[in-house]
Amino acid sequence: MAAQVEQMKPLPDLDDPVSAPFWREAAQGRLSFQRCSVCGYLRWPAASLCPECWSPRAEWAPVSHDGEVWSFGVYERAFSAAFESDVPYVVALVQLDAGPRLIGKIVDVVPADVTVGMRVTAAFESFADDAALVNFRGLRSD
Amino acid sequence: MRLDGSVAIVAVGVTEQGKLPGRDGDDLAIEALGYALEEAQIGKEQIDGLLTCKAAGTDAGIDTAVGRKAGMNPAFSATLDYGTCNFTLHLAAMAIATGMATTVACLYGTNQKTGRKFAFTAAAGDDGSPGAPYGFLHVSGPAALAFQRHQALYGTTEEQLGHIAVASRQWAKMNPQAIFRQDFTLEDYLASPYLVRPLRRPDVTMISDGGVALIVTSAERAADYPKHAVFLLSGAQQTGLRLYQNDDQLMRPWIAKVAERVYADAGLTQSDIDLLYIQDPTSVWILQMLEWYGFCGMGEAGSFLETGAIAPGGTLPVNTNGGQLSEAYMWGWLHIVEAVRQLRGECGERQVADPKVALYCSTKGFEKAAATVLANEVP
Ligand SMILES: [Zn+2]
Repeated sequence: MAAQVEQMKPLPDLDDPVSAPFWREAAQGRLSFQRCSVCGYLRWPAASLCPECWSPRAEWAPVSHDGEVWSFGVYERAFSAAFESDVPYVVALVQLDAGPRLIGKIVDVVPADVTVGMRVTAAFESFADDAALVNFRGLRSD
Repeated sequence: MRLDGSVAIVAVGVTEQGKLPGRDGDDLAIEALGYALEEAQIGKEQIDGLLTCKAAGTDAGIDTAVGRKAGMNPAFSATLDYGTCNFTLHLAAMAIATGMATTVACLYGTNQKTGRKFAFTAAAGDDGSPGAPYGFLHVSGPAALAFQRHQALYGTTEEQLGHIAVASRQWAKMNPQAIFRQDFTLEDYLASPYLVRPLRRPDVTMISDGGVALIVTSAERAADYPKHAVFLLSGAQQTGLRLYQNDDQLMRPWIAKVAERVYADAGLTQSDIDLLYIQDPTSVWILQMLEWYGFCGMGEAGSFLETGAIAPGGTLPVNTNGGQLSEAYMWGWLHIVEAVRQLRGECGERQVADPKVALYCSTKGFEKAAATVLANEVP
């Protein structure tokens, strides 16, 4: 079940037509990126042009939820009051098997158990009726 | 950019550093220019190029506003959206080389400590990556990730990293201009609280108010100035503007291209560098750039630091002003000032014996890098 994010946190702009589908897809339990209709490149962050071929045309394409922790840090101090109740929390850069690299929290874990190279999978956290953030949790190796 | 000493810094000016409540960023930049003009023994009318640098999170540093406030109509002026001074210095050199200007003032001033609250809590890396909703805030976030990755790849320890903050303080203790001068040992470092583990408070700069100015001109004109000129031998840049689209972007591997060009264009190698300056919003920048600029092998910065190499009395003087970790946060500008003063032999107790060549390396976050080789003689 997706946790509810407090309102005061900086949240994605759902009025941005370019990036909003990412968060809406996440609310449906899908990790989706714009796949360029011309060259197939996956855009991240979402953009109005393909950075490879400059085509504006793209379809939102669901990809594998899995990836690996490229690196991570443990926030022992909140730099914004909105995150004070979360401290300590783990933020990682995740190299997705599908290609893009995402920043997200590693949830449902003791910080000391997170490692570089750890296999993770997307964990969706709703922040509006039909929008969710993409966090990650450890993948069992069995 | 091969300069062969054709461009020189002939004067520097620095205001008081620290908390300067009620001061305006542009006023501080103009005050610093006043000191530089005094050192150069010229008037503001002789400045025909004005380069300003925007101060993050404030309105300060726009060329049109600074020119109006300072009562100057230079032939050429421009604003850079970011600091570190290297980017500004390269633009000054290009303006002089092409004849756009003969005598360029480069300015930076900020009241981000006591004035408008600096947006340090903005999304980490100010790079348009949507990290803020996940609490990926402040430069210590991406820096922590970069260091954690270095640890995982090479076995680098927190204690090894701690040598950077400790060495910076040892230098700062001999610098009357430095804000942080109290004793600070490796034990103190290890007892300091984490901000974003594995980085601690002393690994990250404290912001400050202040102003800095440089006057840059051609080598021919430099001979007419009262102070010994410091010549630019080369400058180089490389961007990584694709950011998260790039592999290993937090490690910034493209910095290696700057190193290759800046040494080649100066006709030198790292073994010729007597003084090394590395812009250091966090200690991790120093760790990375020691490797990218070839002062130790890839992955070997930890063991290199452990030898005490960068501390006073070590084999490689680094940030002899105390850097941004201990002197002040002028977005890298004071590193150039210190290089100039060391190359002139003006640094008193912390003066390095008979230096001839300095290298200054800086980055704009995870987006671009620059370096300049400076020398007190034309080769
Ligand atoms: Zn394309």
